[in-house]
Amino acid sequence: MKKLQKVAITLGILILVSFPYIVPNPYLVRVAIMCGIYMVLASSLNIVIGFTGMFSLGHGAFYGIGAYTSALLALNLHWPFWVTFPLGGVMAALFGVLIGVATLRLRQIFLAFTTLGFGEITRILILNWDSLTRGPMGLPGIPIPTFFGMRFSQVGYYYFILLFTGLVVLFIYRLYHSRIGRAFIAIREDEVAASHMGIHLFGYKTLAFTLSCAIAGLVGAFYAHFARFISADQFGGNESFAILTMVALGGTGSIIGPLLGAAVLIIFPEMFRFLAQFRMVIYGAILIFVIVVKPGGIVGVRGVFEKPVQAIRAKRSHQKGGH
Amino acid sequence: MFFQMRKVRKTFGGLVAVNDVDLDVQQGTIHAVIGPNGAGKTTLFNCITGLRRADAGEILFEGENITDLPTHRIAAKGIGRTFQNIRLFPYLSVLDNVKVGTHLLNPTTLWDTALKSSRFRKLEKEVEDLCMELLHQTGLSEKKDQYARNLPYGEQRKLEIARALASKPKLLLLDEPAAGMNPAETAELDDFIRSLKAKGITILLIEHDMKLVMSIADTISVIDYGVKIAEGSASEIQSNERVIEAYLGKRRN
Repeated sequence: MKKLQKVAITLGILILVSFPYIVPNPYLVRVAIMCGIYMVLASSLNIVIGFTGMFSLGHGAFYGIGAYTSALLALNLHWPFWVTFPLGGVMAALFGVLIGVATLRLRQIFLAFTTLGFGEITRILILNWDSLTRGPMGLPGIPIPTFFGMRFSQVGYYYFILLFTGLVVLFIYRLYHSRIGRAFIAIREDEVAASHMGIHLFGYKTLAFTLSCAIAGLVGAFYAHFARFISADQFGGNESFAILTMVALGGTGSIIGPLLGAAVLIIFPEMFRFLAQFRMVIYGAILIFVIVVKPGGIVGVRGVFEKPVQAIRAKRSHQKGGH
Repeated sequence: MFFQMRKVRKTFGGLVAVNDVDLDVQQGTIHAVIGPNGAGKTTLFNCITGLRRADAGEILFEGENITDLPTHRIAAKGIGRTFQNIRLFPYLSVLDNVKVGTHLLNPTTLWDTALKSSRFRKLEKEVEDLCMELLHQTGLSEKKDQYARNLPYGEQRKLEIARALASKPKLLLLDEPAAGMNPAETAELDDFIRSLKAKGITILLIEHDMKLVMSIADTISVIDYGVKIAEGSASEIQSNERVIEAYLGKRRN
């Protein structure tokens, strides 16, 4: 079994590495790059939602903060991508800490509302801070990264995001099987018991939130230099919900789940382009369907979606039994 | 003095759940707290671990005032506990439940984790060994990969004790460990608690199974309506008028 797994992983990596040469189609490579970006976003949100059991609805904002930070530094100060990319992550992490300290003492639905609010505030701020962000006109002409003096080709972008996604998944895998990951999951499972094990609830919640934001900020920085044009509406509530749907569909609390969810929800809209205007409707329907029918998603263990559903079911069966 | 409560008081609205209780626990002993249902025993435990804040009084552990420390800091001082209504991590494996218990002993950093450093591997190995040892002792090693929620009730209680022991506590609070156990399991538990005492762990125990309490407790404190009404050895408690009154009612003359 272990050997089979190793063979499968090696084969998977080989296919992914040779992908742009097997399929030298710029459109498909672009779709693959978008898959990578959303796999990272969904995986990072999963640290908060799936592992630690906190409901965050503002993930798109941290993605946007990373994108705008990197783009503005590159456009205004002409700093190279290799400097602005990590700074995108740092800035998102800083905002993550700030928002975390302010909100993470709240529980469940209250946390969901405050993060949703923060997401909107960020979008509106970007939209209206004309002197810095050019407001609704967005930021065009973000420079292409260079690698030893050579500008990124599309294949270059592909390899960069492939490597980055791989590193993020590896990091999350290690985190999951470490003291810190176990503390996150313990908090999701039972906060009271977790604190009796010596786990500083607030500290670990903030850590989970910050890590998640940092990763989203990094991939946001990448996106800015890949798309070369960014605007506020790319990082609003719709974006947050799309990422949330990916996590929910794939499966909260598992490592593979968000990757699966991201792949499905990037590839299917490409195949069904004629349904484009119904995209958010379909996402909403998927979200409701998953929560009601299979709160663990395709491969998930358990996350924030299962608890409220269980609570409602328990209440209902209790009421039925009572009469 | 190892562990001391001085005039600890806890009220819920008009109800005085814990009423100026003094409690001294000698190091290396098994100290039982008994009393009728609703006497305030679990509230007493909750005040000790910081789950509830005492309204008045002081709790001292190894000479240090821990009354107002947050729960995780109290745990870090070396006080472990189990819960009356079992609070395992249901969707974590049996082994991982115990591993969470080692949280305080493990100085792994985020950096170690990200790089999977040799230190990380060494510490994980130590954690794994310690936890497997505890699972062997509690007879749960064969179920290590099951979800905690799938264990039968008695084994969930054992797992909670194993998890509490994983932090190597100096003082272990057991809240009705024998509840729901059959007599054979209770006898096993009796031996197990004695073996913990032999290892130098001080035990504070809430229990309704009088056979178990009278067998293992060095000191027994009796609480009724939040007030400590008696304290002493098993034989002293058994012949104490006020205790009999609390459990059985007043003698009719």
